[in-house]
Amino acid sequence: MFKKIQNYLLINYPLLWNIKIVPMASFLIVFNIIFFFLGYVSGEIDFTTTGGNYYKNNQEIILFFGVLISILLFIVWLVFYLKNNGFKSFYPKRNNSLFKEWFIIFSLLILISSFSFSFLFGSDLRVKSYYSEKEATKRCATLAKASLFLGYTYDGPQYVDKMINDTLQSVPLDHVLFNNKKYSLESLINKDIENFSFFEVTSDSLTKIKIKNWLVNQQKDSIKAVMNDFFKIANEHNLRSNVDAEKWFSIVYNYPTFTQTLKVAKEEKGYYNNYGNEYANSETTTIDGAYEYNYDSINQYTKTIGKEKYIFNRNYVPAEVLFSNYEEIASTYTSSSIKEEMILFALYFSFGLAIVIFSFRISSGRNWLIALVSLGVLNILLGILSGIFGSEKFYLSGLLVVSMSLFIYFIFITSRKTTKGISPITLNGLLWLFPTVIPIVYYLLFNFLKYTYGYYERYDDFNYDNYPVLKFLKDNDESMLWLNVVFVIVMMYFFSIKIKKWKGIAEN
Amino acid sequence: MNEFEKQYEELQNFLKFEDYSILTKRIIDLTLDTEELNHYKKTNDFLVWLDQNENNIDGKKEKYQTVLSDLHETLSKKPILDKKILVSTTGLEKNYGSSSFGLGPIDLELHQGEILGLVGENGNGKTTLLRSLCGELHPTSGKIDYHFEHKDLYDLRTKLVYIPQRTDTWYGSMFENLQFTATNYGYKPEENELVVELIIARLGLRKFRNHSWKSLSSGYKMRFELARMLLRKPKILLIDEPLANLDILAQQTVLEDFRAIAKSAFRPIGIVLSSQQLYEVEKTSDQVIFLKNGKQKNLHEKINPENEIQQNNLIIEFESNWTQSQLGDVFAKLNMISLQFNGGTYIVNFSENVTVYDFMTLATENKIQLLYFRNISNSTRRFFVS
Repeated sequence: MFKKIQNYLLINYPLLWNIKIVPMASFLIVFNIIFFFLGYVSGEIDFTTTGGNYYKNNQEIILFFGVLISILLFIVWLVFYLKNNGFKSFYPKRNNSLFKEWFIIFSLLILISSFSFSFLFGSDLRVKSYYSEKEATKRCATLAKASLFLGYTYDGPQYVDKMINDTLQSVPLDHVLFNNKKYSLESLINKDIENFSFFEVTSDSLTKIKIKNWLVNQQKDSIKAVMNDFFKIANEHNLRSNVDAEKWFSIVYNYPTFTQTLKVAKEEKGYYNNYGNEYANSETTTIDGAYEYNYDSINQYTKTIGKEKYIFNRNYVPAEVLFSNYEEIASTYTSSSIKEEMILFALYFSFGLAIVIFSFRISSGRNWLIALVSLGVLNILLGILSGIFGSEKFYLSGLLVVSMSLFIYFIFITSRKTTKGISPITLNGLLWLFPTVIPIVYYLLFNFLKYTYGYYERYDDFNYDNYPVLKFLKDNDESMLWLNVVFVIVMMYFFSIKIKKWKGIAEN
Repeated sequence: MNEFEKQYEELQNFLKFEDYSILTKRIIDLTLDTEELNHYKKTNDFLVWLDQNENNIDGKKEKYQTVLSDLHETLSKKPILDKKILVSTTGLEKNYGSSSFGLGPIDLELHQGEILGLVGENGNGKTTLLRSLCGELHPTSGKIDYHFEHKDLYDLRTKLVYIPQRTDTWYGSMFENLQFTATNYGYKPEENELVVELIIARLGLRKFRNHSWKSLSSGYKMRFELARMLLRKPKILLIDEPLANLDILAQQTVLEDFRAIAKSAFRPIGIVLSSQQLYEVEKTSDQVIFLKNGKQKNLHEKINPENEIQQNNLIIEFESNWTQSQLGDVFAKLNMISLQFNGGTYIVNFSENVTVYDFMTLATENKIQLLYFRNISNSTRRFFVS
């Protein structure tokens, strides 16, 4: 089929035939779909375990293979693409033909570098497919509320400032104050709730106050309703517990002190030597260099299964597993795995590479290589000089001056129309450097303004709000990079037309 | 009788003497001249028929006649345009910086349908002149004027095909490469394959269509370059030493091809070629320029009379086992101007009133042992004499 299509393109659209767009784009689309599918599979949530981390290890391997496949595909494509070059042979071309060629390469490279995005997109989509955002938020709210009644740990003590020996010191309180009443540090009033990405810290604080008010106001029904809702979720995922809502309530609800002797744990059991687990809050003793944990024997007991020793909780609900999996959903909704910086990076990588290939295409291997070496040497020189002057601004200004000089030389050569001079070499440098012009100017301007507004003299109490231009520059660097993409594309259009005319000029 | 009719008469003679090989080539040329799809198809079918009926002597002749008449009917209605001037140079000079060598001044004109031969020893500026004419080198002084329409320099260079001595490697299938060229030069999808087939057949490359570039001999590489050139429909073909790697038979074939291509009644082009094969080039070319240390000497007066050397002397090149003094004594009778011995061959120069018959009579009367002789009075060969 490819042969047929290629043959059709060969006699109808020679540029598309030469770029091998159909086979290449097909491969890339198929690979992107495969990676999307792999992502979709890996995004599966097993609500019975907290093993969310396992697939993240696989994720790295898959993404590594993604990069490997990209590189291989790119090399194979390059070999085929470079077989013919109508421009070098002076075949008739329209003015926009070179731009089209560059843009197609650019598009292919975007597809090449998008395997990881397809993977992450698939993975996110799968995670989101479990519940709508509204439903997930509702469930997380229930879980957050229920979390106050779970676990063995409490918030730390509150601190107050006291004058001790004429010095002001922060001293921990041995109680916690709520609605002007004192409660024990080990009461439900001194407990925190589980945080989910859906909710801000302030929202969590309000939730805590609300529940603690239920407690002190004896709004038992509200509390039981939360517990029932919790079990609805747990049952939906077929998770086991050894208490029901009634028992849970009776264990934790100790009006009016809300101190707890009996507690309800977040999971059935844990490894005995699980460092960092919540049992570690109890005192630890060291026997033969190994950590031994004292456990809460009222609420826990140990049991050895096979070779492994476990700590079992006497009362538990399956909260840990729900928290971890619902947080997975919440965090996927609140922040996509595909970050803007990643997209920008891929975009810059793609058009950088597209420009490098394009420049190779329009000059020759030899000139391209000379340009590469010259620019390398120039970079080292600028690097050394900026080292001597102790300023990166010198380096950046140097690059800017070089870009401008190359541009002026190119315009001079194309207007003079006699010989190309050394422009087959310098044109490469120009094409590689011009995309850096706007970011460099932006950076230099930002620094110049910082300098003139006296940032370096008082950076401790420097307020950007007083300098709208500076603040604008500080806050919009990503927008600038996006804008630069547009600028580069427009400039490439301009350059490609000029380059076609330039090609006709005598070599010597 | 117009030019086409004259050419057609020549083809009828080929048919009469059953010179099918050249006739087939010329039929392809005429087919391409028609620029019509149905003729492309017919001729391609005819070529396939020929492959299958190689020994069908009677049928063959009849078939040839049919195809010829068919082409004649179409082409006789096609207008024949005047041959226009393509390029002219005035005082063209090219120096390479510090190097002592300099080309020019060169003054030349090239018209459609003309072949311009460049001869001269190595390093005397032939390639420099070709590269200047194809736009690769910018003249140090003087100018080159192209007398056909072109939008810009790139457009101009799409119309000038320069085939250097060492050509670039072709990658991939030869046939696809040619199709790629054809599409780029605006052949329609439906005629693309047919035209490429015709051109491949025209240059005797049918057997080699699936070969890789590296497996081709340099002679066949040159032919593929010519095939590509034909698809590019150039205004001017500039070609450096096309005969260098060819055997004697292939040299004649290629030169004959050049003649046919340049002199097409309907699509004439200008050809500039450089070569060391003096006599072959002289036979084929309409003008010959001899370059010595970059300076121009013309074979035919019409180009540039002031550069012309005394042309009316009789100059004979010959080989003999006689000594120079023996020969000198005999030639003195004909008022010989000079006699030079040049590595195996002699060149003798007589004044303008001596004819080649006088020389032959003298040789016969004195029984001079001649292995061969050639009248080079009108050949650039005489410029090579120091």
